[in-house]
Amino acid sequence: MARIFEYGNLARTSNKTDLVLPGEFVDAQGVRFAEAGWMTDGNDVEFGEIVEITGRNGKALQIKRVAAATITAARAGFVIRDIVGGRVIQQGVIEGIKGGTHVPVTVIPASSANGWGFAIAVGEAVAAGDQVYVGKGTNGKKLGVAYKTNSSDTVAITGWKFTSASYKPTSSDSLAAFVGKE
Amino acid sequence: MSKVIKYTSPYKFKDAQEGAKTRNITLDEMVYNLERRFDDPRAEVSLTDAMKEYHSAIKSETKFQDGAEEQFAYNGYTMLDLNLRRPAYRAFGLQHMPVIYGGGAVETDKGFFFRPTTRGGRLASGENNKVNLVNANYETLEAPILPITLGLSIGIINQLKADTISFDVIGANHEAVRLSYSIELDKFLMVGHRGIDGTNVDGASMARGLINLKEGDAIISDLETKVYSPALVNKKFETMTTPELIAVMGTEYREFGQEVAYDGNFMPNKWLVGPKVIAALSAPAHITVAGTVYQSQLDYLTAQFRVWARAFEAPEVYIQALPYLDPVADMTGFDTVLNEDGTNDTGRTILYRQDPYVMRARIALDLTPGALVFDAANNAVRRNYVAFIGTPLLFYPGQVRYIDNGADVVDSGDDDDDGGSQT
Repeated sequence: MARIFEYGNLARTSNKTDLVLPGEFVDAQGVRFAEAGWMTDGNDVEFGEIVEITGRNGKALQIKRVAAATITAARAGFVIRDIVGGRVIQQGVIEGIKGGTHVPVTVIPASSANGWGFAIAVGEAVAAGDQVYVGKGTNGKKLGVAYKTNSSDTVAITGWKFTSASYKPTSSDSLAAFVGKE
Repeated sequence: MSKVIKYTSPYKFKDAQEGAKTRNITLDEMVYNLERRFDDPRAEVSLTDAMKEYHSAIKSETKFQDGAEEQFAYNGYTMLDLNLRRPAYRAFGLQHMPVIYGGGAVETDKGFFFRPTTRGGRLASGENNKVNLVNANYETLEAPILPITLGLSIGIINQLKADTISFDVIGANHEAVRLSYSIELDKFLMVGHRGIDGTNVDGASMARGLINLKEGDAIISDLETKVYSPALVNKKFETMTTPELIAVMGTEYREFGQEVAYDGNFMPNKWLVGPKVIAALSAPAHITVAGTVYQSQLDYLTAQFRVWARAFEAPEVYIQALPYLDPVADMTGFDTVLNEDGTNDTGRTILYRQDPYVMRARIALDLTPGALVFDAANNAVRRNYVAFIGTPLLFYPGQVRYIDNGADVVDSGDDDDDGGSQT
């Protein structure tokens, strides 16, 4: 894994606050609309990733990795960190679920009226108040990673803003930031 | 391993042992019975003396009790000194790296780190419903465990000859196995898997030891390049003035404290130094070039470590010598694979917390002998040993500091050594 976020070591002191991992909730106001998502394309899915919702049935949201041709704000969803078993014996932090494992993940549809804030993986430094975009996989903008830049390589996740500056939650250089509904 | 005793007597130990077995009595009783016939004032040897010598022969491990001297020619005019001299030996791994035991034949040593994600409190008003949320995260860390094996082999004729003179050849070889294992343990604990591939090069994914952790796991301060305040003129421990030494160690101790939020449970308690630097720091403490012999640099630094420890409610830092940290040319008497002399090859020092909570290795299976068996194919008596040894598992990356000695001696500018600067 480690496609969208490279996990280093967790900080070894608790004195520094707000070092929230991608996919974790940061605040709660009112209700949240979080559904079980079922990965349909066999790809790995990482916590804090933006995925594409292709449908919904009586069991779960059908989700897949973002595709440049089809991703829109209405089809976007945020993957929330769940408690899952690490499928591969490894050291470090559990990053998500491996492709092909029969484990649903928690997804918050971008189109939902959502009062809860959470952290996601970002691909560049962002500031509170910046608009959230998702990369389309071209010119260095990775599929499923959030950016603040409006270009032909990104799609706006309308209605969502960054609510914090970006930060490094682990010892690696990978960034995360809080997001919330406008 | 069965005891082997030999003392001056008209019969051999094995005779007494066989006799005891035949009569179904203890060895003590057998020896007593054999010696008792000498309990006659007309005999040269008294029973009391004989039993005393027998018991002292059992207790002593340094005397030449195993009969090996019988391999060498001597006559009645030769005085034999039966105190066996052994080679000097010292291992350092277990002294400086905490170890835990247990697990058996396993492959991986894994541990967990737990971190509560702290948040700031959100203001609450009369009717608000927005709350900041906390989290708790876990991270696993692991280190590999490898099996190692050692063995001894004694040809059957050699074994028969050894039995003839009651020479404990198995015991002698067992001692060699024990020392070999101790050296192997030093390697695993100090330099990890270095040398397994036949080179002294530390590969990127190679498991490391206490003195060769990779950058990130250890914070490496190169005295040649790091900027201290005040700036260093002399960048080697051997030539530093006392203010420079305090600037370096005070900075390193403080930066260590920052990494651990000055938590006394994690503050450093040991500074490992090569013997060459220890010797250099024994020079008189001085401000410029030379000083009066009020106290040595080491005394002054030790006192300051004590002051800093009290200020942060932390344990005192003990300064200890580790030969493996000297420049390789000065580290004679040890395998060069154990040498780690830092970025500039002039010596490394290590400031760390010796605490199994922070870092420890696992000996999953301590050296365990197999059965002593007769190997018909090789016509020899054989015994193999096995151990499962892990490399250090560092639970707190960044909480080991390497302070590497500088590269060159710097001209202090005082050519006539009068304490003033060069004009």
